[in-house]
Amino acid sequence: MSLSALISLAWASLWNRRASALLTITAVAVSVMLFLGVDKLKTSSEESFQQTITGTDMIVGARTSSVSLVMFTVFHIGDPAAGMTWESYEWLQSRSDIEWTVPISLGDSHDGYRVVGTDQSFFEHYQFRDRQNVSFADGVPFDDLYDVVVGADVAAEKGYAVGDQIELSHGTGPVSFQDHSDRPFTITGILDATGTPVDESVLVSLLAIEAIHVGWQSGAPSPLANMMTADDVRQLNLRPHIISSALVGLSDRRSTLNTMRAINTYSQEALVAAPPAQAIAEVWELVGVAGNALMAVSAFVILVGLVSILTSILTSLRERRREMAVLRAIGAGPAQIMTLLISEAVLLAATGAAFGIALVYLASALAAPIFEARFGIALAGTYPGMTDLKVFLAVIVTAGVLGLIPAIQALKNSLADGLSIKL
Amino acid sequence: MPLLSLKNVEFAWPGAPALLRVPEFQLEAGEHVFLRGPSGSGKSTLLGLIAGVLTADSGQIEFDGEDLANASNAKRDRIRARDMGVIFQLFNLLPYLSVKANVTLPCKLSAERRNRVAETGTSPDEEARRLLDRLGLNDDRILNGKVSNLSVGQQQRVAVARALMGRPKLIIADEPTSALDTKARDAFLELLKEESAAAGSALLFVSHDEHLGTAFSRIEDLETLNTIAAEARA
Repeated sequence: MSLSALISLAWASLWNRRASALLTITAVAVSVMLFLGVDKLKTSSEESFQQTITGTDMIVGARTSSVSLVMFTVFHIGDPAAGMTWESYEWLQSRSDIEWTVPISLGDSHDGYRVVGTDQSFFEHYQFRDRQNVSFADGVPFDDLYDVVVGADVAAEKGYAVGDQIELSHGTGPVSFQDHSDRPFTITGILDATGTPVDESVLVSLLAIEAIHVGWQSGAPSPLANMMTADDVRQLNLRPHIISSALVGLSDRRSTLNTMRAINTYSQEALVAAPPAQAIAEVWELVGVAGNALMAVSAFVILVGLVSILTSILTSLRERRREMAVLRAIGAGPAQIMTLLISEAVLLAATGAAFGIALVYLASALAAPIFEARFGIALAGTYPGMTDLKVFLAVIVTAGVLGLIPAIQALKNSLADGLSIKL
Repeated sequence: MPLLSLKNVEFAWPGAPALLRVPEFQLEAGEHVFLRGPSGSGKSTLLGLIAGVLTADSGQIEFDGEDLANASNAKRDRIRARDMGVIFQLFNLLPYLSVKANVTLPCKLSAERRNRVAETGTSPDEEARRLLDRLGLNDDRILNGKVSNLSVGQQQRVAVARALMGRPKLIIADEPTSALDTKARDAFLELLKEESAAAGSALLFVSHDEHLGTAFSRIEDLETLNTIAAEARA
């Protein structure tokens, strides 16, 4: 009997047991969907993690490890051990091999959100994902000393609108006992969601950071801080002294190594230059372990789904001994009996896997806008790709191998039964 | 040359004493034979050997000029698919196929059978319809319906149609009437003989019920053919 005739026989047999076949197919479909879903989330979150900062050739700060420099500058995790002087920043700006710089000054918070001191260049040069600039959902960049721009999450969670007045506090704790309550800031702009830590940031000018700290140089408010009003501070001739780090764009990327060497050996101050992509990849290796563990778990779930195929076919064998004897009598050989049962396992697996893949794409098509808006994660692969094909084939091959077990059992039965039919 | 010829055939299940020893048995092409065999006479074993599902330990089995005893398993399966039709006591049909698909199944397993149908200038479907019509099942609802909708008698007639599909050289009927009542039994037997004759097939009809033997010109007794059963009785 030809393979196609055997497969159509297997279909007819499965259709006859469609209730239990459907359950088995569902188990396989759900397990495949889980596996591919986890894979897609992992790939997508890795992509958006690695694309938190793009277009920046290096990050420069006071000497520390490159990972820690990138972590606090880009992800606002940890604190700079030391700052970089404004003179060093000006030296960076003056270099001809450097096209642009963005200063970053951290250390203050607003209600648990990081305050990032920077300047207009941030809006021009900070890029994420595929070289996208931050954009404004509402309002404009800060201009005045007491202007502030807030990230999408900050605005959404606190219910802020352009024109609202907020206070910034010294230090980075979620609750600060020392609110700089005498320095009212006005929100001039709200950013679109980016899926990066910018969403949870409050952006102000470098001078605003200085203004917050007038009278606080000792770490606690001096009598001077209490005496001065916001307008008094405005009269001071403020200028930045220390920043945390700088984003740097090169005129020519081929000079990366030379520029790094020049910065690393700068004689006036101990500095370090780190390309962000490399440090982010190092961090992902640590974070990505969780994703790999999830992948391993869902691979086992697929195996459970496939074992349910095995169970359903093995259970059906007892009541199908007669069927096998009839097939033998008509002239089917042992190889054809085995092929029939393996085809059944493969058909169940293939149908289940196909449904699983379809479900993943349906789910990601439905969920993509939500993920984009809420987590800033662009779901990877809107169309079926190599991963899906590999999983599909792996499921089919495994089902075929597992199908050997009922096939061999059926073969033993039919050899023992011969032409007699056990009633 | 006889269609089927057994000489000094012996068979035993592994580790068990010999179950069957047939010094000689022959069947001519187109011949109808009633083989009386009560349970325990080695009936299933003999039919298994003739059909090529079991392998003899010693002796010769020739079918249509081919040496069954020394053929490979695959070759015996092919010969059975090509030239034998088997009818069981019950449950002859695959429950998940339509009546028509059950009847045409032998044509799917054997190209020779498909070709023999084609040589008569018809298709397997048409041949199935013709056979079922001859057997009194000429209803389209039956033809395309489920096997489980049929009575036992109807199922046995469908089994005859399947066995006759593509005119095999030998029909093996193993107690095909034991699930039928007396009236249905006689009608069934007549149909089976008629249609086997029309197809030119030899018929090996096996039953424990010797009354059925009156319809056959040649009657054999398995308890005599199988010398082991004969010894056990003596």
